[in-house]
Amino acid sequence: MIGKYVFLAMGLAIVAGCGLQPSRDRSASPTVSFAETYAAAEAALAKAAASRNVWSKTEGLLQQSKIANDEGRKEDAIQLANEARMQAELALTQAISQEKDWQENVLF
Amino acid sequence: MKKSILSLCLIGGIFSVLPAVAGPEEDRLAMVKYYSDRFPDVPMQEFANGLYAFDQSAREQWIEMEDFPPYEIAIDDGQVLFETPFANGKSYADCFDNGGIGVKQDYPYFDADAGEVVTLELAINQCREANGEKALAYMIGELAEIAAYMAYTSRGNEFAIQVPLDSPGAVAAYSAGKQFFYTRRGQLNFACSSCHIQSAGLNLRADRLSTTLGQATHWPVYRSKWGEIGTIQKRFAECNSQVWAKPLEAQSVEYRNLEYFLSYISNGLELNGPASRR
Ligand code: HEC
Repeated sequence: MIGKYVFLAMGLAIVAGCGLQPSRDRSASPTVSFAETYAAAEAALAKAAASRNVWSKTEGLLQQSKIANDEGRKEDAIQLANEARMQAELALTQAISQEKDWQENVLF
Repeated sequence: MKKSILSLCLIGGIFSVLPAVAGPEEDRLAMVKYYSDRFPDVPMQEFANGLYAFDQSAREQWIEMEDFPPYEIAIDDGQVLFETPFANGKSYADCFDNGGIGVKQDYPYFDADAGEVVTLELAINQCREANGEKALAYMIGELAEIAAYMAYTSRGNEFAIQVPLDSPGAVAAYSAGKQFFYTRRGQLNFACSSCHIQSAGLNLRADRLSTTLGQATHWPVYRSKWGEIGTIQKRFAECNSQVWAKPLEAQSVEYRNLEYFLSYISNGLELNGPASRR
Protein backbone atom coordinates (compact mmCIF):
# COMPACT_ATOMS: atom_id res chain seq x y z
CA MET A 1 0.00 0.00 0.00
CA ILE A 2 2.66 2.50 1.10
CA GLY A 3 4.84 1.26 -1.72
CA LYS A 4 2.19 2.20 -4.23
CA TYR A 5 2.10 5.77 -2.99
CA VAL A 6 5.87 6.08 -2.95
CA PHE A 7 5.90 5.00 -6.56
CA LEU A 8 3.08 7.37 -7.28
CA ALA A 9 4.93 10.28 -5.73
CA MET A 10 8.05 9.33 -7.66
CA GLY A 11 6.04 9.08 -10.82
CA LEU A 12 4.50 12.49 -10.37
CA ALA A 13 7.82 14.05 -9.40
CA ILE A 14 9.51 12.60 -12.46
CA VAL A 15 6.71 13.59 -14.77
CA ALA A 16 6.69 17.07 -13.28
CA GLY A 17 10.46 17.23 -13.71
CA CYS A 18 10.19 16.25 -17.34
CA GLY A 19 7.86 19.15 -17.93
CA LEU A 20 10.38 21.56 -16.50
CA GLN A 21 13.20 20.94 -18.94
CA PRO A 22 14.10 24.32 -20.37
CA SER A 23 13.09 24.91 -23.96
CA ARG A 24 15.24 26.90 -26.33
CA ASP A 25 14.51 30.57 -26.37
CA ARG A 26 13.93 31.30 -29.99
CA SER A 27 13.15 34.97 -29.45
CA ALA A 28 16.87 35.39 -28.84
CA SER A 29 17.61 35.09 -32.56
CA PRO A 30 17.28 38.39 -34.41
CA THR A 31 13.97 38.80 -36.17
CA VAL A 32 14.49 38.91 -39.88
CA SER A 33 11.24 40.06 -41.43
CA PHE A 34 7.56 40.45 -40.81
CA ALA A 35 6.75 37.68 -43.25
CA GLU A 36 8.96 35.20 -41.43
CA THR A 37 7.77 36.21 -37.99
CA TYR A 38 4.18 36.00 -39.06
CA ALA A 39 4.68 32.63 -40.72
CA ALA A 40 6.34 31.28 -37.58
CA ALA A 41 3.38 32.44 -35.51
CA GLU A 42 0.92 30.86 -37.92
CA ALA A 43 2.84 27.58 -37.80
CA ALA A 44 2.85 27.61 -34.00
CA LEU A 45 -0.84 28.38 -33.96
CA ALA A 46 -1.55 25.47 -36.31
CA LYS A 47 0.26 23.16 -33.89
CA ALA A 48 -1.71 24.46 -30.94
CA ALA A 49 -4.93 24.01 -32.92
CA ALA A 50 -3.95 20.43 -33.73
CA SER A 51 -3.53 19.86 -29.98
CA ARG A 52 -7.09 21.24 -29.56
CA ASN A 53 -5.88 23.93 -27.20
CA VAL A 54 -5.80 27.45 -28.61
CA TRP A 55 -5.86 30.39 -26.22
CA SER A 56 -8.63 32.80 -26.97
CA LYS A 57 -6.55 35.92 -27.60
CA THR A 58 -3.99 34.41 -29.96
CA GLU A 59 -5.90 34.63 -33.24
CA GLY A 60 -6.81 38.25 -32.46
CA LEU A 61 -3.15 39.09 -31.94
CA LEU A 62 -2.33 37.65 -35.33
CA GLN A 63 -5.10 39.68 -36.94
CA GLN A 64 -3.84 42.83 -35.25
CA SER A 65 -0.36 42.00 -36.42
CA LYS A 66 -1.54 41.81 -40.01
CA ILE A 67 -3.42 45.09 -39.71
CA ALA A 68 -0.37 46.78 -38.19
CA ASN A 69 1.73 45.54 -41.08
CA ASP A 70 -0.82 46.75 -43.64
CA GLU A 71 -0.74 50.15 -42.00
CA GLY A 72 3.03 50.26 -42.19
CA ARG A 73 3.62 49.82 -38.44
CA LYS A 74 6.31 47.19 -38.93
CA GLU A 75 7.64 47.09 -35.39
CA ASP A 76 4.19 46.70 -33.87
CA ALA A 77 3.37 44.05 -36.42
CA ILE A 78 6.42 42.00 -35.56
CA GLN A 79 5.89 42.40 -31.84
CA LEU A 80 2.27 41.25 -32.11
CA ALA A 81 3.19 38.26 -34.24
CA ASN A 82 5.87 37.29 -31.73
CA GLU A 83 3.38 37.53 -28.92
CA ALA A 84 0.95 35.34 -30.83
CA ARG A 85 3.70 32.81 -31.47
CA MET A 86 4.67 32.77 -27.82
CA GLN A 87 1.06 32.20 -26.75
CA ALA A 88 0.63 29.39 -29.25
CA GLU A 89 3.82 27.72 -28.08
CA LEU A 90 2.74 27.96 -24.45
CA ALA A 91 -0.67 26.55 -25.32
CA LEU A 92 0.97 23.60 -27.05
CA THR A 93 3.28 23.04 -24.08
CA GLN A 94 0.26 23.17 -21.79
CA ALA A 95 -1.61 20.62 -23.90
CA ILE A 96 1.36 18.25 -24.03
CA SER A 97 2.15 18.43 -20.32
CA GLN A 98 -1.53 18.09 -19.36
CA GLU A 99 -1.72 14.85 -21.37
CA LYS A 100 -0.02 13.38 -18.28
CA ASP A 101 -0.42 15.97 -15.57
CA TRP A 102 -4.24 16.14 -15.68
CA GLN A 103 -4.27 13.36 -13.14
CA GLU A 104 -2.72 15.66 -10.57
CA ASN A 105 -6.02 17.57 -10.67
CA VAL A 106 -8.04 14.49 -9.70
CA LEU A 107 -8.68 14.87 -5.98
CA PHE A 108 -10.43 11.56 -5.42
CA MET B 1 21.89 9.71 -20.84
CA LYS B 2 19.04 10.93 -23.01
CA LYS B 3 17.67 7.42 -23.20
CA SER B 4 17.67 6.88 -19.45
CA ILE B 5 15.85 10.18 -18.88
CA LEU B 6 13.29 9.12 -21.42
CA SER B 7 12.72 5.73 -19.79
CA LEU B 8 12.49 7.37 -16.37
CA CYS B 9 9.83 9.64 -17.82
CA LEU B 10 8.01 6.64 -19.22
CA ILE B 11 8.13 4.79 -15.91
CA GLY B 12 6.94 7.93 -14.15
CA GLY B 13 4.13 8.18 -16.63
CA ILE B 14 3.06 4.60 -16.09
CA PHE B 15 3.02 4.86 -12.30
CA SER B 16 1.18 8.12 -12.32
CA VAL B 17 -1.53 6.45 -14.41
CA LEU B 18 -2.37 4.20 -11.45
CA PRO B 19 -5.00 6.34 -9.68
CA ALA B 20 -7.00 6.80 -12.88
CA VAL B 21 -8.16 3.19 -13.11
CA ALA B 22 -11.31 3.99 -11.13
CA GLY B 23 -14.38 3.16 -13.21
CA PRO B 24 -17.36 5.40 -13.88
CA GLU B 25 -19.34 4.18 -10.88
CA GLU B 26 -16.37 4.69 -8.52
CA ASP B 27 -15.99 8.19 -9.95
CA ARG B 28 -19.64 8.99 -9.42
CA LEU B 29 -19.72 7.67 -5.85
CA ALA B 30 -16.55 9.59 -4.99
CA MET B 31 -18.11 12.74 -6.38
CA VAL B 32 -21.33 12.18 -4.39
CA LYS B 33 -19.32 11.65 -1.20
CA TYR B 34 -17.15 14.73 -1.78
CA TYR B 35 -20.09 17.07 -2.28
CA SER B 36 -22.17 15.51 0.50
CA ASP B 37 -19.28 16.16 2.88
CA ARG B 38 -18.80 19.67 1.55
CA PHE B 39 -22.51 20.58 1.59
CA PRO B 40 -23.94 18.45 4.42
CA ASP B 41 -27.22 20.43 4.47
CA VAL B 42 -28.01 20.06 0.77
CA PRO B 43 -30.35 17.15 -0.05
CA MET B 44 -29.07 15.08 -2.96
CA GLN B 45 -31.71 16.05 -5.53
CA GLU B 46 -31.09 19.76 -4.80
CA PHE B 47 -27.72 19.54 -6.58
CA ALA B 48 -29.75 19.40 -9.80
CA ASN B 49 -30.59 23.07 -9.17
CA GLY B 50 -26.99 24.20 -9.48
CA LEU B 51 -25.89 27.12 -7.35
CA TYR B 52 -29.47 27.64 -6.15
CA ALA B 53 -28.92 24.56 -3.97
CA PHE B 54 -26.82 26.62 -1.55
CA ASP B 55 -27.06 30.32 -2.50
CA GLN B 56 -30.12 31.47 -0.60
CA SER B 57 -30.55 34.94 -2.11
CA ALA B 58 -29.97 33.75 -5.66
CA ARG B 59 -32.44 30.96 -4.93
CA GLU B 60 -35.18 33.41 -3.97
CA GLN B 61 -34.77 35.33 -7.23
CA TRP B 62 -34.78 32.07 -9.13
CA ILE B 63 -37.99 30.86 -7.52
CA GLU B 64 -39.57 34.16 -8.46
CA MET B 65 -38.36 33.73 -12.04
CA GLU B 66 -39.90 30.25 -12.11
CA ASP B 67 -43.36 31.78 -11.49
CA PHE B 68 -43.36 32.70 -15.18
CA PRO B 69 -40.75 30.32 -16.52
CA PRO B 70 -38.84 32.05 -19.32
CA TYR B 71 -38.34 28.71 -21.08
CA GLU B 72 -42.04 28.03 -21.47
CA ILE B 73 -42.25 29.48 -24.98
CA ALA B 74 -39.32 27.31 -26.02
CA ILE B 75 -41.16 24.20 -24.81
CA ASP B 76 -44.27 25.16 -26.79
CA ASP B 77 -42.34 26.06 -29.93
CA GLY B 78 -40.31 22.90 -29.52
CA GLN B 79 -43.45 20.77 -29.33
CA VAL B 80 -44.78 22.28 -32.56
CA LEU B 81 -41.46 21.63 -34.29
CA PHE B 82 -41.30 18.13 -32.85
CA GLU B 83 -44.78 17.24 -34.08
CA THR B 84 -44.49 18.79 -37.53
CA PRO B 85 -43.86 15.99 -40.06
CA PHE B 86 -40.83 16.09 -42.36
CA ALA B 87 -41.31 16.47 -46.13
CA ASN B 88 -41.28 12.67 -46.44
CA GLY B 89 -44.20 12.33 -44.01
CA LYS B 90 -42.13 10.87 -41.17
CA SER B 91 -41.37 12.72 -37.97
CA TYR B 92 -39.02 12.84 -34.99
CA ALA B 93 -41.20 10.33 -33.20
CA ASP B 94 -40.12 7.69 -35.75
CA CYS B 95 -36.46 8.10 -34.81
CA PHE B 96 -36.65 7.64 -31.04
CA ASP B 97 -37.72 5.00 -28.57
CA ASN B 98 -41.21 5.62 -27.18
CA GLY B 99 -41.84 8.16 -29.91
CA GLY B 100 -39.26 10.47 -28.35
CA ILE B 101 -41.37 11.08 -25.24
CA GLY B 102 -39.53 10.80 -21.91
CA VAL B 103 -36.23 9.55 -23.32
CA LYS B 104 -33.70 12.18 -22.29
CA GLN B 105 -32.45 10.17 -19.32
CA ASP B 106 -30.73 7.83 -21.80
CA TYR B 107 -28.71 10.57 -23.53
CA PRO B 108 -25.85 10.75 -24.24
CA TYR B 109 -25.20 7.11 -25.00
CA PHE B 110 -22.32 5.37 -26.75
CA ASP B 111 -23.21 4.10 -30.22
CA ALA B 112 -20.96 1.06 -30.57
CA ASP B 113 -21.56 0.72 -34.33
CA ALA B 114 -20.62 4.30 -35.10
CA GLY B 115 -17.96 4.28 -32.36
CA GLU B 116 -19.05 7.61 -30.93
CA VAL B 117 -21.07 9.32 -28.24
CA VAL B 118 -24.54 10.39 -29.34
CA THR B 119 -26.03 13.35 -27.50
CA LEU B 120 -29.71 14.19 -27.73
CA GLU B 121 -28.90 17.15 -29.99
CA LEU B 122 -26.81 14.98 -32.30
CA ALA B 123 -29.61 12.39 -32.43
CA ILE B 124 -32.12 15.09 -33.40
CA ASN B 125 -29.95 16.15 -36.32
CA GLN B 126 -29.22 12.54 -37.28
CA CYS B 127 -32.97 12.01 -37.41
CA ARG B 128 -33.40 15.04 -39.66
CA GLU B 129 -30.65 13.99 -42.03
CA ALA B 130 -31.90 10.41 -42.22
CA ASN B 131 -35.20 11.88 -43.39
CA GLY B 132 -33.73 14.19 -45.99
CA GLU B 133 -33.87 17.36 -43.88
CA LYS B 134 -31.00 19.76 -43.32
CA ALA B 135 -29.22 19.67 -39.96
CA LEU B 136 -30.07 22.52 -37.60
CA ALA B 137 -27.47 24.75 -36.00
CA TYR B 138 -26.35 23.53 -32.59
CA MET B 139 -26.42 25.38 -29.24
CA ILE B 140 -29.42 27.71 -29.72
CA GLY B 141 -32.53 28.14 -31.85
CA GLU B 142 -34.88 25.46 -33.14
CA LEU B 143 -32.66 22.56 -32.13
CA ALA B 144 -32.50 23.81 -28.54
CA GLU B 145 -36.30 24.27 -28.58
CA ILE B 146 -36.89 20.70 -29.72
CA ALA B 147 -34.48 19.52 -27.02
CA ALA B 148 -36.37 21.66 -24.49
CA TYR B 149 -39.64 19.93 -25.35
CA MET B 150 -38.01 16.49 -25.17
CA ALA B 151 -36.44 17.39 -21.82
CA TYR B 152 -39.81 18.57 -20.55
CA THR B 153 -41.41 15.22 -21.37
CA SER B 154 -38.60 13.54 -19.42
CA ARG B 155 -38.95 15.55 -16.22
CA GLY B 156 -38.86 13.40 -13.10
CA ASN B 157 -37.15 10.48 -14.84
CA GLU B 158 -33.90 9.37 -13.24
CA PHE B 159 -30.76 10.00 -15.25
CA ALA B 160 -29.67 6.56 -16.45
CA ILE B 161 -26.51 7.00 -18.52
CA GLN B 162 -24.88 3.72 -19.49
CA VAL B 163 -21.15 3.19 -19.80
CA PRO B 164 -21.04 -0.57 -20.50
CA LEU B 165 -17.77 -1.82 -19.01
CA ASP B 166 -17.59 -4.54 -21.67
CA SER B 167 -17.57 -1.89 -24.38
CA PRO B 168 -13.99 -0.62 -24.77
CA GLY B 169 -15.25 2.23 -26.96
CA ALA B 170 -17.72 3.45 -24.37
CA VAL B 171 -15.16 3.25 -21.57
CA ALA B 172 -12.61 5.10 -23.71
CA ALA B 173 -15.12 7.86 -24.54
CA TYR B 174 -16.04 8.23 -20.87
CA SER B 175 -12.35 8.31 -19.89
CA ALA B 176 -11.60 10.92 -22.54
CA GLY B 177 -14.43 13.05 -21.18
CA LYS B 178 -13.06 12.66 -17.68
CA GLN B 179 -9.58 13.61 -18.85
CA PHE B 180 -10.95 16.72 -20.58
CA PHE B 181 -12.75 17.67 -17.36
CA TYR B 182 -9.52 17.55 -15.36
CA THR B 183 -7.29 19.12 -18.04
CA ARG B 184 -6.03 22.65 -17.52
CA ARG B 185 -6.71 24.81 -20.52
CA GLY B 186 -6.49 28.38 -21.67
CA GLN B 187 -4.26 31.25 -20.72
CA LEU B 188 -5.60 31.19 -17.16
CA ASN B 189 -4.63 27.52 -16.84
CA PHE B 190 -7.83 26.23 -15.22
CA ALA B 191 -9.49 22.84 -15.50
CA CYS B 192 -13.26 22.38 -15.11
CA SER B 193 -12.41 20.76 -11.79
CA SER B 194 -10.48 23.83 -10.56
CA CYS B 195 -13.74 25.75 -10.38
CA HIS B 196 -16.52 23.20 -10.00
CA ILE B 197 -14.76 20.76 -7.66
CA GLN B 198 -12.03 22.60 -5.76
CA SER B 199 -13.95 25.88 -5.58
CA ALA B 200 -17.57 24.69 -5.60
CA GLY B 201 -19.71 26.94 -3.44
CA LEU B 202 -17.16 29.78 -3.51
CA ASN B 203 -17.71 33.09 -5.22
CA LEU B 204 -16.47 33.82 -8.68
CA ARG B 205 -17.41 37.43 -9.46
CA ALA B 206 -21.23 37.59 -9.13
CA ASP B 207 -21.78 33.83 -8.91
CA ARG B 208 -21.18 31.04 -6.48
CA LEU B 209 -19.77 28.05 -8.31
CA SER B 210 -22.09 25.10 -8.83
CA THR B 211 -21.16 21.47 -8.24
CA THR B 212 -20.32 19.04 -11.03
CA LEU B 213 -22.85 16.72 -9.47
CA GLY B 214 -26.23 17.75 -10.93
CA GLN B 215 -24.79 19.93 -13.66
CA ALA B 216 -26.22 17.90 -16.53
CA THR B 217 -29.78 17.27 -15.38
CA HIS B 218 -31.58 20.42 -16.47
CA TRP B 219 -30.65 21.24 -20.06
CA PRO B 220 -31.36 23.11 -22.21
CA VAL B 221 -31.35 26.24 -20.07
CA TYR B 222 -32.92 29.65 -20.55
CA ARG B 223 -30.27 32.00 -19.32
CA SER B 224 -31.13 35.63 -18.66
CA LYS B 225 -27.66 36.62 -19.81
CA TRP B 226 -28.20 34.81 -23.13
CA GLY B 227 -31.79 36.01 -23.44
CA GLU B 228 -32.65 32.66 -25.02
CA ILE B 229 -32.54 28.94 -24.51
CA GLY B 230 -29.22 27.17 -25.09
CA THR B 231 -27.74 23.69 -24.80
CA ILE B 232 -25.21 22.38 -22.30
CA GLN B 233 -22.45 22.64 -24.89
CA LYS B 234 -23.07 26.37 -25.15
CA ARG B 235 -22.24 26.47 -21.45
CA PHE B 236 -19.07 24.38 -22.05
CA ALA B 237 -18.03 26.96 -24.64
CA GLU B 238 -18.66 29.79 -22.20
CA CYS B 239 -16.74 28.09 -19.41
CA ASN B 240 -13.83 27.54 -21.81
CA SER B 241 -13.91 31.21 -22.80
CA GLN B 242 -13.83 32.28 -19.16
CA VAL B 243 -10.37 30.79 -18.80
CA TRP B 244 -9.27 32.39 -22.09
CA ALA B 245 -9.38 29.14 -24.01
CA LYS B 246 -10.89 29.18 -27.49
CA PRO B 247 -14.05 27.05 -27.29
CA LEU B 248 -14.25 23.89 -29.36
CA GLU B 249 -16.99 23.35 -31.90
CA ALA B 250 -20.44 22.34 -30.67
CA GLN B 251 -20.81 18.54 -30.84
CA SER B 252 -17.07 18.08 -31.36
CA VAL B 253 -15.87 14.67 -30.22
CA GLU B 254 -14.31 16.30 -27.15
CA TYR B 255 -17.48 18.08 -26.04
CA ARG B 256 -19.60 14.97 -26.60
CA ASN B 257 -17.21 12.86 -24.50
CA LEU B 258 -17.23 15.56 -21.83
CA GLU B 259 -21.03 15.57 -21.82
CA TYR B 260 -21.02 11.77 -21.51
CA PHE B 261 -18.77 11.96 -18.43
CA LEU B 262 -20.64 14.86 -16.87
CA SER B 263 -24.02 13.22 -17.41
CA TYR B 264 -22.89 9.92 -15.93
CA ILE B 265 -21.85 11.75 -12.76
CA SER B 266 -25.48 12.87 -12.32
CA ASN B 267 -26.90 9.36 -12.68
CA GLY B 268 -29.75 8.70 -10.28
CA LEU B 269 -30.80 12.36 -10.02
CA GLU B 270 -34.16 13.29 -11.49
CA LEU B 271 -34.19 15.25 -14.73
CA ASN B 272 -35.49 18.79 -14.28
CA GLY B 273 -35.05 20.44 -17.64
CA PRO B 274 -35.51 22.83 -19.17
CA ALA B 275 -34.44 25.22 -16.43
CA SER B 276 -33.79 28.90 -15.90
CA ARG B 277 -30.53 30.44 -14.81
CA ARG B 278 -29.55 34.06 -14.52
C1 HEC C 1 -13.06 29.90 -13.99
C2 HEC C 1 -14.02 29.01 -13.37
C3 HEC C 1 -14.74 28.01 -14.24
C4 HEC C 1 -14.20 26.99 -14.97
C5 HEC C 1 -12.73 26.64 -15.14
C6 HEC C 1 -15.31 26.28 -15.51
N1 HEC C 1 -16.49 26.84 -15.16
FE1 HEC C 1 -18.34 26.13 -15.47
N2 HEC C 1 -19.14 27.74 -14.58
C7 HEC C 1 -18.45 28.77 -14.00
C8 HEC C 1 -19.35 29.77 -13.51
C9 HEC C 1 -18.98 31.06 -12.84
C10 HEC C 1 -20.65 29.29 -13.81
C11 HEC C 1 -21.97 29.98 -13.47
C12 HEC C 1 -22.29 29.70 -12.03
C13 HEC C 1 -22.60 28.25 -11.84
O1 HEC C 1 -23.71 27.82 -12.18
O2 HEC C 1 -21.70 27.49 -11.39
C14 HEC C 1 -20.48 28.01 -14.46
C15 HEC C 1 -21.52 27.19 -14.86
C16 HEC C 1 -21.37 25.96 -15.43
C17 HEC C 1 -22.46 25.08 -15.77
C18 HEC C 1 -23.94 25.39 -15.60
C19 HEC C 1 -24.44 25.04 -14.23
C20 HEC C 1 -25.92 25.12 -14.12
O3 HEC C 1 -26.44 24.88 -13.02
O4 HEC C 1 -26.62 25.38 -15.09
C21 HEC C 1 -21.92 23.95 -16.31
C22 HEC C 1 -22.66 22.74 -16.84
C23 HEC C 1 -20.49 24.12 -16.28
N3 HEC C 1 -20.18 25.33 -15.72
C24 HEC C 1 -19.60 23.18 -16.74
C25 HEC C 1 -18.23 23.42 -16.84
C26 HEC C 1 -17.31 22.54 -17.51
C27 HEC C 1 -17.67 21.23 -18.16
C28 HEC C 1 -16.08 23.12 -17.43
C29 HEC C 1 -14.79 22.67 -18.09
C30 HEC C 1 -14.82 22.67 -19.52
C31 HEC C 1 -16.23 24.34 -16.66
N4 HEC C 1 -17.53 24.49 -16.33
C32 HEC C 1 -15.17 25.16 -16.31
C33 HEC C 1 -17.08 28.83 -13.85
C34 HEC C 1 -16.17 27.93 -14.40
